[in-house]
Amino acid sequence: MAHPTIEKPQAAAAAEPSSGDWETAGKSGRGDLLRKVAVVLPIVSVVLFLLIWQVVGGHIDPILLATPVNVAKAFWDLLTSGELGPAFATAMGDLATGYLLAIVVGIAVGVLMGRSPIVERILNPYVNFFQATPLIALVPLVVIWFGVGFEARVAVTFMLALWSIIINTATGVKETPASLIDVGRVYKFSRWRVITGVSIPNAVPNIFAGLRIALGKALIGMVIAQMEISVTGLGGLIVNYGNAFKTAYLLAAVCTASLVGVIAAAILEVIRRFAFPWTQGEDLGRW
Amino acid sequence: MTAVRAGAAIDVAAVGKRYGQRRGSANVALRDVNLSVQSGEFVSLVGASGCGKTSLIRMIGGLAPYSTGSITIDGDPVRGVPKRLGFVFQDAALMPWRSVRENVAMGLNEISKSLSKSDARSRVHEQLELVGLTKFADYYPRQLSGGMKQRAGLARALVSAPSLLLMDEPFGALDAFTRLRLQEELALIVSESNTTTVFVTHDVDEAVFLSDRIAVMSASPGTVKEVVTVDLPRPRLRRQGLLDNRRAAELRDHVLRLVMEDQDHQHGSGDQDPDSVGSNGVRADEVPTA
Repeated sequence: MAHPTIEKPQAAAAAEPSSGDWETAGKSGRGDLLRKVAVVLPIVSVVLFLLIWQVVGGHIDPILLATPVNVAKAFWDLLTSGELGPAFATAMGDLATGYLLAIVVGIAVGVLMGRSPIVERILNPYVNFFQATPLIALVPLVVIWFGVGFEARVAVTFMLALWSIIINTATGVKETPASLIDVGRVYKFSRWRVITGVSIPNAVPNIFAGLRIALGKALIGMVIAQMEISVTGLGGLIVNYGNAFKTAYLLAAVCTASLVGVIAAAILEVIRRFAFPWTQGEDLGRW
Repeated sequence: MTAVRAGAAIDVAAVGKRYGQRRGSANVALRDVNLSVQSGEFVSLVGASGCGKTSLIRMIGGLAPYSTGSITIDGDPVRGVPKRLGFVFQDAALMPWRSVRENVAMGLNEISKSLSKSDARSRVHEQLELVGLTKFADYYPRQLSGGMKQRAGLARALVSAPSLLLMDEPFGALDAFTRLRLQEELALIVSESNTTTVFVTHDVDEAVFLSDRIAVMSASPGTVKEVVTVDLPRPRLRRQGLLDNRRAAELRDHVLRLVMEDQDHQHGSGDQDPDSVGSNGVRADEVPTA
């Protein structure tokens, strides 16, 4: 019988301290300090920035620049007056609908393009065209087609998010290593299983990269649509308070829009970690 | 566990392969290849890079078409991937999104209908034990060393008790000591089964150690130049001094001379490598992905 000795996995070996290494020996104290500073540094940076902003803002016309304290006050005011809640909900609703539609259509089209050279040839000109076009210029056309309501806002959000998802999905599917396809052939996978069980999982890291890029674009689309098409939601607040020269309220609405982006990105990251733990770069928490 | 069934018998007759038939400048990768492998035999294909040994093993495995001649397995011509095949790839080719256990279980896909879930589970378990990966069953491939990945690939190929095992330079990318250890393990595993094995390598020592016969290939066009019978007793264990064995040394020198002669002929034209051309024209595992 074979008595194979069990080898140590690389990840475990890499986790061992490398203090014996002559290059780092003696410098570990400095390394520890750097690591601690690295954690605190962003916080210090932000606090310092807000302080400077507060001091400088106090000496400037409040129409030009509101101080952080005034922005916070405006935020609280918007929240308690019941203006912010519905605006936030509208923003989330527009974003979620347009972005999710883009995910469904984008992944489907991307998989088709990645699998079939014919489909790829047919669709490539359009994908390249729309990827290169400043799509905001199409907002008036969207209004002509969809009017000035929810549908138009969703259409703009969708239109901005779609292309990165298609391109990244197609790349990931197309770059499935030939040896993995061979494995499917040797072990008699059906054609369908080669797509769903080999090509699509292979594309998952690319798809998530595309989704992150697309999220940023979807946010832009959502805010622009609310500013330019309906004057509603967070975009509506931004436009209205801008027109009224209420800079603190304007900035409070902008910060809320960032919050929408942060929340959406966090949801995306949580899904990736729990549904696709193998995409993680480092420790997978399995040992 | 598994019923002992006869390994496949392979007959390769007058097989030729040309590719890139553009404007008459067709490249002949293989010409008039003849080789028969008996049931339960271990045959290595050895040759310098460019001799088409990878092309040949892919044709036997139904992964690449051949242009002329015939390849039969147990008398049936190869059209597509034959039944009950195990294939070990150069780069292990594990699915990164599947645990080691799930990757090995993929080898049971073809016979999954005739297997209960608990049978399948115990087969995978036994196979993992055989290659020493029990403790790593729930790891993902990227958490494994190169040697462990190849063990997982071997377990996936063997889990269905295949009648034919094809191995395409499986240990080529491993460090020397891991390679030696895996060779010994493979020799033991294969000798306990009835599987017929075809093994591609450019390592002459590896071929002598493992094989019943060695098919030495030459390049441009690739063909089988000579088949050398390895008349060394089994089991072969390095620690019992196989390397000092005079017969082993003779065989090794003979095979090496055959390969070297061919390389001297080839000198200067060794840039083109038909090995790197697969069914899609290009083997993605050999082309750096951007």
